[in-house]
Amino acid sequence: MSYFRKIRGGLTLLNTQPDHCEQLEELQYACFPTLDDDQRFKAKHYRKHIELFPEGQFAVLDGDRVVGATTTLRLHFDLEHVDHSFDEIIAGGWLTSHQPDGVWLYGADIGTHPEYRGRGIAGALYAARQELVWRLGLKGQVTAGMIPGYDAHRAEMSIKEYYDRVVRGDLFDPTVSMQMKTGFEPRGLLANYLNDPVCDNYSVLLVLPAEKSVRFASKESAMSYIHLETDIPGPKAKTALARRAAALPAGWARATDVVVERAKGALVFDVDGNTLIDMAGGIGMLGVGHSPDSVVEAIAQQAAQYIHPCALVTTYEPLLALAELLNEITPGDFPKKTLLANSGAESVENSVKLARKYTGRSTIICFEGAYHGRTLLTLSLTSKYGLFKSGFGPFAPEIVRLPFPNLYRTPAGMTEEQYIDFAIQQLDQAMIAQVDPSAVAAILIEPVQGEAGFLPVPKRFFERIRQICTQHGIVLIADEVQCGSGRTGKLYAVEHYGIVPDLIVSAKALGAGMPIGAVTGRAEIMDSAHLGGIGGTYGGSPVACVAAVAALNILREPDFLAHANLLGEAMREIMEGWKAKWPIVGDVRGLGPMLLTEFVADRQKKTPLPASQVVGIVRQAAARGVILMRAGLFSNCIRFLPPLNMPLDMVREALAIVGDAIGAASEQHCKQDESLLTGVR
Amino acid sequence: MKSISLLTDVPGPKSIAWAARRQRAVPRGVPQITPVFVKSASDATITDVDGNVYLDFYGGIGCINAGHAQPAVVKAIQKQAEAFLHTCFMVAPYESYVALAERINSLAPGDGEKRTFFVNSGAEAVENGIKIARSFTGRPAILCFDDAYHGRTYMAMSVTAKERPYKYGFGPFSQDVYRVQFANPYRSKNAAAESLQAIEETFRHRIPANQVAAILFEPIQGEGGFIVPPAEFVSGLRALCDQYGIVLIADEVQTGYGRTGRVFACEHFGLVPDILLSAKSIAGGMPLAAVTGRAEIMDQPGPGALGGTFGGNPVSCAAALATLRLFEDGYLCSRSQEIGKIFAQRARAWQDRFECIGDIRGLGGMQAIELVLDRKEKTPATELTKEVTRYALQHGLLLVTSGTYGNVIRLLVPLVATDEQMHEGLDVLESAIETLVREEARPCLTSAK
Repeated sequence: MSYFRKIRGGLTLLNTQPDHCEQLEELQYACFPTLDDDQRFKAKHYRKHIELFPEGQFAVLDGDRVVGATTTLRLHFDLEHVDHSFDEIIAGGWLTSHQPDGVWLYGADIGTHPEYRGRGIAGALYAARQELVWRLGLKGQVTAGMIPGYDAHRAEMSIKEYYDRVVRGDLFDPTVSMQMKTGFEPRGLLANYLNDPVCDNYSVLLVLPAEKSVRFASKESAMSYIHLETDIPGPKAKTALARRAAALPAGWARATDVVVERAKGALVFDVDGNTLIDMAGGIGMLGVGHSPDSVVEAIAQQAAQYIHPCALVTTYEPLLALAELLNEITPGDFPKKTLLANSGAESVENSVKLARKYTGRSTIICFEGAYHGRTLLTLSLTSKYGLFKSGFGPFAPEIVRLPFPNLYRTPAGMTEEQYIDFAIQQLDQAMIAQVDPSAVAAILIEPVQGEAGFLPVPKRFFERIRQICTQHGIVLIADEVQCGSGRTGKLYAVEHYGIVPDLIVSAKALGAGMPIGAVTGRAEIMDSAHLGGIGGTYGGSPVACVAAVAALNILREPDFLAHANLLGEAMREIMEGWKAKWPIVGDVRGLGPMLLTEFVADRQKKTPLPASQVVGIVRQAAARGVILMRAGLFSNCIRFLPPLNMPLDMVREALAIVGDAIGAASEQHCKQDESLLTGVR
Repeated sequence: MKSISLLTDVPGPKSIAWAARRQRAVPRGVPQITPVFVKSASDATITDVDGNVYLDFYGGIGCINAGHAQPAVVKAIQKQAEAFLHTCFMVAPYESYVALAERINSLAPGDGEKRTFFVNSGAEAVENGIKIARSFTGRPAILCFDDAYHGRTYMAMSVTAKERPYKYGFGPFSQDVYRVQFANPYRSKNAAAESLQAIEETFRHRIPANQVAAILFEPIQGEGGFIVPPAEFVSGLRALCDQYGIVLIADEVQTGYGRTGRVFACEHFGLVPDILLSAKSIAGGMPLAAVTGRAEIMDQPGPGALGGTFGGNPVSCAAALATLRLFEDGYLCSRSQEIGKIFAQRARAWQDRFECIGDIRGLGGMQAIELVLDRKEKTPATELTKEVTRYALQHGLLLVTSGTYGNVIRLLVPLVATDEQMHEGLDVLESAIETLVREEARPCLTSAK
């Protein structure tokens, strides 16, 4: 779905969703009470329309109630020789005559609920259709209009005369005149096209060429995914944000002022009718995009069956399906088991518990720059003290934190290879100076550090860690909460390294947005906890499990990761372009489509650009319709976590806007620099 | 009209087949209290894949107070899933989160201004409650109780009392946790005074009060055995906290949302805690937990200090709003009272007949019986309790136990259970006890024979 507008009267006009199909069937009865029942579209037909041509189906909602709709399809239509009938096009209601490369947008049906007439709904629907015409580069709209007004005049004139007079404007026909007002051009009478005895089975061929403008239709809006009606936040968003400030604690993090009403794919639709492109994905939650149909369907079906019988008391299929799937697709050829929890933090906690129990040891080694969660233990393992940890200690004991080689910040006088050598040396030394390997339960690492700024672990460093773990019976835990689930273009980031961890933690994108996390790993480690030692009331929530299975199935579709990698390549190319152009872009890095830009005040010294200026870029981008998030130890990076199936033209649209914002910030920054240098006011 | 319908043995052949798959895929450390393999659930019953219908007296371990798969809740989930599954409230907020926070702020005890935020589980709520108390007071220590259960993440484990199975092999734990006895009137005549005294002594000998950030307690201990403390204990805690500037955290994860016949158990005690934690039944079984507290305390951590990717996910919030609407007319809470009365009445009749019923206790629908080998020593009858629940399972009644010695049968039935269903389930329980113990008349209480 990509169309979403707020129209007059607080109504919403959007692409029809599967959810609406039952109501659409009812709407047909309300709009066309005199038609034969088999002439009206049923819910099953609407579902087919959405499947065939989703962007051509529109519905108007008043809250949850469907009050208007239009059904369209693409056709090659010979205006001069109309040699088919309406029934043939409609194909029993299924619209299977739709031609994906058709050059005309055929309007099969348009209707407004009788209680809602006179509110401009039809006009809004025609405008939506015209914007679609522009967007797809079609020749225009075409439809066959009924001429119900003829019945009143049949005594005085022939249908041809009636038609001519209506076209001239002498007579008013409730249907044709209205359509002419919208912009449709009558192109002749069609005999026996529509089955309508009221007008002797005649109808009017109506064409609305692409060249014509249509009231409320905006060419600009049509050609972009982003659609801005108001500032961000708009009036409704402002009200919601004020309520938020009153109800929630002041410390609750807040990255944007976008108040969400709906989301689909990579688009977010806010409460004021704005459409934004989501490059943050709810912090990397959206590998498969917002609300994919298969996930939504799975959740709907599961909720109706049972929501929570508790995996500690009973067992149920979704739990097993997900555990088995994760056991199968995670790296490692050994028997595995999976434990399900409700978040990344809980899953990391569990991995530590298991490592401690399995080894009988207590020390956990983690790394600077790490982020593992906000529960006390995971907070203890997390870096970035000022933002996350201040005031919440004392922290957990038996934690050793080691430096992480950030290749972008290779110390002066060293090559990257030398820096990695040095890091390995430090690692080996820590095994004497800080802790003995025989006391270490686990080494916990993110294969691509997330919060630290999308820093991939250097391969040799990672290999040395794997070696140390294997040699000393230490459990290697890979935290793939952010970099897993396809984010780096492979199912798991460790696949890029050919390294197999003992335990792998996933969450975030795992459940397509539902709260779920998993620890998967060597059966002997997973089984080391005594009975009752691990678990949790909500863990393995059936609704979350079915969502995760559906999401994983999307990820595993043959072309999915291929597209993700294409996306990554396209993004990297654009971002490298920024680096070439703007001096404040210090680094472009990541793995696959997991990409990030680091901003600096000085390329040589790599002084982080002040966080406030980076915030400025994020704000500017948000104001122009792109949702972004920052990252980095110095909060001077912008990370990109789009849905991995984002269309390429959408990512280009988003990155063009981000590029503009970076350019503005760069110019601003250089001006500041200059004025400092020259001492000019 | 009977609710229980057993077509096969328990477990049936299909459930047995699935059990092998569970063993292969899921770590053995995760408990599996029954071999039931669920097909569907509604109101207060669960149907397994063999077609057996059970009466559910454990409600997902206290998560299903409003009943399984209530249509309004299901519809809310379906509708929300279609709108959006997740944007992360920290990145792009949404109305349902705010509406829910407002609702809980208004439901929680106390007239002052409150704030609420959401996380994914009771354990996460406990962790955050402690973080906030530390931030507000600038102090490190947490005081908690014997027989307490707060969750399985590290800090929640540290404040949880029972070593096995919750903590064994997973340490080391937080060094800043101090524990005293809870006020258990079944096991002590002066329970309140003794416990409060123990706290004062802790302050004198082990950790000064001005180093204690919070006292964390469950108004009725859940896993500990449905221990209902005397009112003086609860008011005593409040007084201590007021005196020493300690944050009083009430863990209502199991007692909340109608379980005790009021929305929150604190209401029974007239207690206004500084922070209230809730979860379990908040969202019809969807993963959600709430941290609610006095505005000035909750606002102490700086911007960005509190957060979490999933917390307050839209689907859970939608489910919670729908669930809370079910409580609005007061029916479920009054139902909870009635259910509690039915249970207590039947249990008292058993107590007259069976020596093993050591104690009957609870508030509202949160009721339990403690089984003992003899009433004087109050020796826990752990084996008997296991056998009773096994018998119940075999006869179509799903129960869970609790208590440090596993000798407490607790009632967590969905509050939509009818009187008929209550009696049907209690009949099974009665028959279990009857079958498994020798009946002994209690002298003095029955009329002279």
